[in-house]
Amino acid sequence: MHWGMVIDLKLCIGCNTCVAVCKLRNGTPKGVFWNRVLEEEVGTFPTARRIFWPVRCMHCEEPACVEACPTGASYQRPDNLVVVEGEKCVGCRACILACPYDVRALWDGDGGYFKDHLTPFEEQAYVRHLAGAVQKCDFCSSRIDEGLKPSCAEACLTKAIIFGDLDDPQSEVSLALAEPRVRRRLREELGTRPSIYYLT
Amino acid sequence: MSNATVPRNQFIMGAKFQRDWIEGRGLWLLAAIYLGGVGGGLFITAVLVDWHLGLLVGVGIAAILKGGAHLLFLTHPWKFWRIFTRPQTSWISRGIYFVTLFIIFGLAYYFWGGATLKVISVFFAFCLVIYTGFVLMASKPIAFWNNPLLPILFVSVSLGSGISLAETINIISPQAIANPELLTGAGLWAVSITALLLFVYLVGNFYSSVTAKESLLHLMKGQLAPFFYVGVVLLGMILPLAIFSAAHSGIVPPSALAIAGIAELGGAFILRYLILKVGISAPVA
Repeated sequence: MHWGMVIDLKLCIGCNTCVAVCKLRNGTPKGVFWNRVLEEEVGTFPTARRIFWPVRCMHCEEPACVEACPTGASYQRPDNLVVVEGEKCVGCRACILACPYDVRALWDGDGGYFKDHLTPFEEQAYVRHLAGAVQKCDFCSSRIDEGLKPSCAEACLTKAIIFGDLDDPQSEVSLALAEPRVRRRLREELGTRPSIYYLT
Repeated sequence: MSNATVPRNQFIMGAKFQRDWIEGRGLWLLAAIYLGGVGGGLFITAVLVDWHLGLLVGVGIAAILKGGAHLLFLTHPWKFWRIFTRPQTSWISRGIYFVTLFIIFGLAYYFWGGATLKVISVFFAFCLVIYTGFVLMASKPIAFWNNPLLPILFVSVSLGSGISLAETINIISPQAIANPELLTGAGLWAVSITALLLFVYLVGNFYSSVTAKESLLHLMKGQLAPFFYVGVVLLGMILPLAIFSAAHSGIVPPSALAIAGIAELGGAFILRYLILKVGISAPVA
């Protein structure tokens, strides 16, 4: 079992639904985003255009964050998911600097999105997050364990995000990768072997 | 560097300055890295010039000041013992072993002496001053740090700082060191080698990658350039070199060595600050 994703950049319209639904389902604290859609401008006028790169934890096969973590708080599950056990995190941030994808964050525990109080949603959601510990996307591991897709893959309006088992040749992701398209993984030169492929 | 390559908006593709290890609590990490270098460097210097009290001061700086700074840096300091659990992969974890073993064997050598303890304690002092370079070097996305010369540069700077602190203490408290004449020559060598290593390190970064070059340009041409030229080059290298050379030739009074020592210690701190400050991660795509 090797969970992975294929993201079709030709289908991504940069609507940020995946970002919003992740915020909603995981209740990530103020300023913390487990996934982002990065905008890149390419070309020059009059042929300039934007490319949208949905970026989240790549759940690398050789995760630099796990190697850098001095406490074992970041570890890799047998199904290749890279997860953080907040209780073991000392907040040294070595994993944040070791990660080439800028997808980890440390929440300092400071309030919510509204100045002087937490909303009822924030009050419920923030108790799931440990202040002073690093956090990141876990591919909605609790949903995966229930046989569901990660929230972002489920909510994607254009079906640009495909999730599944990379080890299963009949899975949706494996079939997408078998298509005659140019595929790439981000910052492969660092040897991290990400589990998210981009079709360009 | 234009704003387009280092965007403020985290949703725009681009390179990014690291801030985790230099702003807010990160300043405590800077202090810890610096104090570890000074403590280890002073210990090695004390062994070199046969200065018994210097051994204890070196261990004290590493144990109390460096250790304290590390604890202040962590968001969950009471869990620090967990750092002992991952030496197989993590340089931070290896570092806590080096610090601990340095303290144990350093104190053992201070109290009991002996050739074996001397070799072991100097070995761990060396590990103490070099490991922080490996911690930074392990951050592959930051090309300016991911350079094999960085740990060697840190060793050289640390030895220079140890010698400088010993020089300064010797001037403030004469008769403290049995062989103070060794210090001036050693200081001259340490600062010269540091200057050479820094030059090679910077030239290497110019040619290694786009982001390493961006870091370099920020260091030498950006807003931080005055700190580099005045703090590192002038204060940390040219001034100590001039005074050490003059003192070696007997031109200036020995008391000037204290000025050289303090200048070098300041320059070494600014150098580490700048190295942390200009760390830039390459864009993710």
